[in-house]
Amino acid sequence: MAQSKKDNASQKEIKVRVAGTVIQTGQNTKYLIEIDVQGIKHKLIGYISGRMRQNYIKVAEGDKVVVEVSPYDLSIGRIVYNAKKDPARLAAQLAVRETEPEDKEV
Amino acid sequence: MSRKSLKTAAELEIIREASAISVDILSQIRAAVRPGVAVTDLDELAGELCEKQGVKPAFKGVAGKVPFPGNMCVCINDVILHAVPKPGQTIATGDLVKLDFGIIHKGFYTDHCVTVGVGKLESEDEKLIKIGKFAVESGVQKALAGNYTGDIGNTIETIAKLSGFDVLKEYVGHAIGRNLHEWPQIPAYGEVKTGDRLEPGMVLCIEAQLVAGDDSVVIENDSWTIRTRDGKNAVMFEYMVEVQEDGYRVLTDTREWPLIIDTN
Repeated sequence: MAQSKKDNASQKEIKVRVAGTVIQTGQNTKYLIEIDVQGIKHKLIGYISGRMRQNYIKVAEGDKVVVEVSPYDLSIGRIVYNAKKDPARLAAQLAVRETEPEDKEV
Repeated sequence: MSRKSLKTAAELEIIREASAISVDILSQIRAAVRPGVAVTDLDELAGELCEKQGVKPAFKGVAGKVPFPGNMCVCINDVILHAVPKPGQTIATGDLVKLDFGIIHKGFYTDHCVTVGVGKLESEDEKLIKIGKFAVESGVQKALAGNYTGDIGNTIETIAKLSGFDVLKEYVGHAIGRNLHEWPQIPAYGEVKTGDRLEPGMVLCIEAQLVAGDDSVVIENDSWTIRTRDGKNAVMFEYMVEVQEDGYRVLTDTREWPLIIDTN
């Protein structure tokens, strides 16, 4: 199902975002990325999101990136953020917006 | 849609109260899990604790081919859910024990589930239980007003599949309230932006059953107990979540409980 541009630009993080490391740069702006879900490793091909491409954000080997994946094809993912070599920036990007309210009345 | 039941503030208050009791009872049941303990004993313990608190177990007498006979479901290893307590069945070291429990308090239901590993687990089981919890908790984080049920399912399925596991398609999460199962259904799979829109005031049971092998199941002769067809292990986690205007709130907060029970 194609998503409209407006949907992509909205603030809601709907797709699953996972942390990954670029282990190889390939041709045609494709990258081999190793992602890590709670210690379980998985390799996939990543491509750069249009927004990153428009802003000329480069991706190099060893960079830590955020990848959006879908359960329907686990062999590809969309790179939506490049934290370069900085794990802190990656963590900040993936941090959960803890909207859970504090216990007040109960 | 009129089928969606949105709870009023007074009703939410009762549900919160019920959830606190339910979590308290489940924590006591969890404390009783150790190698050698009989499943029927845990079931009886659940009944006793309910009586002490003045609440009714939610699962007893749930309509089916035969009404569900137990107070709770204690599912071990390849049994995924709805296990009827069998006399003589005991818990052994290395088992994955799913404790699925719910109560009725002042007319409102609760339903939640945790999986615990007993003693030293095999590495594959340890992975499964860890990912199962992480996947469902990630799904819970999508329970925001304006999101769709598909967003929750998509998150759970993606994380499960990336880790090499699969989710069951036959059994889904649900809303809860004066009935055990209410609309909307929340499958643990799906596409983003599909399904029903989440609205403030909903109380959801977000659950997923992760399996190590194939996702097909068999139902045993007692018409309740459900196993994986290939005999691989499964885990299940379930949280009751309240959707609010600007966030969510986990009512049955069992997230801090350790996954593995130390047998020493």
